[in-house]
Amino acid sequence: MRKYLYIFKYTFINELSYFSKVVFRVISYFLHIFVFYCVWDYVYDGTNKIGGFTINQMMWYLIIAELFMMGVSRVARERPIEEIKSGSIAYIMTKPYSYIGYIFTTYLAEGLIRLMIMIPISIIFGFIFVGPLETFQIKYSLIMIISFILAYSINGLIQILISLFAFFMEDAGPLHWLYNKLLLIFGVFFPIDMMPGVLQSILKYTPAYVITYGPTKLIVNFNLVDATYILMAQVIYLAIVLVLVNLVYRRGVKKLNVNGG
Amino acid sequence: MAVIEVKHLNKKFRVKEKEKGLKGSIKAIFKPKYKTKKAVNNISFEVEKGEVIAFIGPNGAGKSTTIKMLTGILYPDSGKINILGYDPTKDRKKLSYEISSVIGQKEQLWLHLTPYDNFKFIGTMYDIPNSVIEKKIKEYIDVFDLKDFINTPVRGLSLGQRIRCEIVAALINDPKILFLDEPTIGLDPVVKENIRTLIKRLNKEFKTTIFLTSHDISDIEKLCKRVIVVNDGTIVMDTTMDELKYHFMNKKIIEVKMSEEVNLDDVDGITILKDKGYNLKLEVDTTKKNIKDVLNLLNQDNIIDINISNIPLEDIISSIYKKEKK
Amino acid sequence: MLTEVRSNLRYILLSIKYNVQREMLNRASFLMNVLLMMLNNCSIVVQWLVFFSLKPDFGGYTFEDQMLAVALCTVTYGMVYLFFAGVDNIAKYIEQGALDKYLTKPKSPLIGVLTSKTQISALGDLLFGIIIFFIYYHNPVQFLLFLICSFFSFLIMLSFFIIVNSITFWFIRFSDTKQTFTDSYISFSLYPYTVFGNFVTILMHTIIPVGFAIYLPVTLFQDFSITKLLILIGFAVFNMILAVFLFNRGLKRYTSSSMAVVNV
Repeated sequence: MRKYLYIFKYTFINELSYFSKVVFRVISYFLHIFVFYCVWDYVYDGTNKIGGFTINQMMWYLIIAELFMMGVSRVARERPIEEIKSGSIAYIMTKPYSYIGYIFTTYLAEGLIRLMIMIPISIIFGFIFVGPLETFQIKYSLIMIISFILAYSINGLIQILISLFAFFMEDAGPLHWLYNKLLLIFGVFFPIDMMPGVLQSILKYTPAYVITYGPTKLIVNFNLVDATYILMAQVIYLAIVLVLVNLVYRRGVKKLNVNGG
Repeated sequence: MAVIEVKHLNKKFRVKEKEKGLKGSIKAIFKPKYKTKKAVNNISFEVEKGEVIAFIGPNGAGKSTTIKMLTGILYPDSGKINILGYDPTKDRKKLSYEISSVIGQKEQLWLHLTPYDNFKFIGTMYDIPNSVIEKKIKEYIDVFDLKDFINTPVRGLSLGQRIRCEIVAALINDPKILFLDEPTIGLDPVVKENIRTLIKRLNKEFKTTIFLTSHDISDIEKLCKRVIVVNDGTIVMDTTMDELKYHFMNKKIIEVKMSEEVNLDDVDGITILKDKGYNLKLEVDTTKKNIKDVLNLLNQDNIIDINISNIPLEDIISSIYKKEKK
Repeated sequence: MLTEVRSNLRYILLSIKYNVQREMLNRASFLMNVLLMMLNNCSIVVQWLVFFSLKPDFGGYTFEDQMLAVALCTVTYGMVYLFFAGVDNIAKYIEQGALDKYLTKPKSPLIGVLTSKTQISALGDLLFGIIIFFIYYHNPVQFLLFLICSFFSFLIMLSFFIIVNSITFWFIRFSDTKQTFTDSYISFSLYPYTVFGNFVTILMHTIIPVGFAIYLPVTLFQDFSITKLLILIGFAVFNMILAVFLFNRGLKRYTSSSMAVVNV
């Protein structure tokens, strides 16, 4: 456990030393929220509800979903690719901890620090731009937090999984663009409920449902039926992704040995 | 004819100062503190055509800053520079056709291209017609012995081969002056020797004036006839290599191993560097004391081993640095 | 003057050729970058399909207008980053004192830095923009206008990025901030200005020139006028001159690597 506390501590110090990056992230978050705000304000003009969302809910949906995207550490996305490409993964593998575990811990630590800074800021933005979230149900907040953490973890594992493809192909980076866009379009810009019916049922099987849409929906407009579905889907996703990550990693390491790093 | 003329050159830098710790970092964001440092302080010198000159000094002495002003990278605060009739601050572009520089090992070459293609690219940059450049490359391949790897992409070359190509690349425009900043840093002794031969050859064959900085004393000893020593932004010595050596040649180091203990006191002209009873190390100033007289002070029957040598150039130079620091 | 332009052009073309050559050494990675970037950009189309299904009219912008804006934005972005991706490095190079290499060469250091890098996925952006244009516009005259507009908005984008980067010459800390400006440029390019208030519209016609680079060309397609076209051209040329001037002016303040540590 001490091992991980140290990782956390050093990640924290590292994050602070790039203070200007933190400021930049806040500005950039503000910018995105501002653009979304303008566009949706225009779209809602005179309409009461779209896809079951009031404008108040929709705005908070954007603020929270974008918070999630901004809070995601880039470690899982970048480090494995760099380390596989440069071959330095071979050295890290000899260390007495699991490679996946090491990336995942760093991912969580960095994300936690980012969120610690971003959550208060996002709440302030929300209150300034749209006022309090009218349909927030504080008594279910534990479920919301669990769902949020699950979503964050699944996202990290999927990103690691994609990065691990670098074992088998020259450049896995472009795959991340697509994954990211999937989350962004169907989980951040638009809640799945706004999509045409056929598309909706397909999208419920994608990561966008369990990662960006799910927990955000629960925070904005909680109901027990949705919560059950979303949590169930998250657990299933977590199990599948865990298996896949380990499978692909083992395959990749074998390939690495063949090529001699 | 002087190809480089420098008069009263000055350059100051503002350096940010930061206090330690988190408090210092936060303070530095809101109220940065600056300190002015004179990197180059009233430097004047001239270099003649065809000279190979060493421009040396400890880290932070102002060497690179001076070179950067000579090549037009930096603007001087005051002073005059005249290189081949050009003022680098005003005619940087025109001057760049006439000179070349290899600064550190910053790669100027495209890694995925062969040296041949790289040379052609540089030729284009200098507006040299294709036929001329091809002829020139052929010549360089022979003179500098590049034929083994002229068609291997640069990324596949060894460090030594790469530096050789970097230097040859700097010759494409037939520079009248070549600035070399630490050309042999990080190379193994054999490769260093290779590079030195190359530099010597280009000075001889093309009469290129060479302006060299290096921390490697043997670079300087083997290549340069003249040495300028800078420290703290000023020139502390400008002399020929021969004179530098001659000046310090007056001092000899005598190391003796005796079979019996001797007691020797400091005499005018003799400094005892080390006294371990049986083993002695003395520095003798031959203008004041003869070697013979020194030997007479020792009981010659008891000498087991003796070694008389010059002070190594390395020590000479570091003693110059140290003297100036005081 | 003319020979200088020609020799600079030869230098630019050769640099670009070698850059692209380097990226194409690995064919699979090259193709993947280009194709997946095109696929990636399709998300913008999806996004607008949904928006327009929710609301058919965006303050005078039709879906075709918006696709034109997207095409312009991706094409100009593609041109800048395919040919002059080094523009992003200017601030970094100033900060680290890494411009030396370009200053000892007889060609413009600005061109040297600009052509020092290429981003191969930008080819995907470029192709995507052209395809999108052809899907929604079929008239050859319109295509000609599109080419003209693309070229000048490319100049505006490039010069804006040069200017923002060059500020680092004066304020070293700006190298962190500049990304806010370049990001805003892209973000605001992809939305119709009609949804933003007056403040943003003014901002986009002053500090961040998206108004001239994207919004103005779109109005040219809605309602052509030679005056507007001349404004576009004039503004682009003016910005380019300003960018080159600022960069060269800044070079005088360039401190080489001696900034961080006094001399090595």
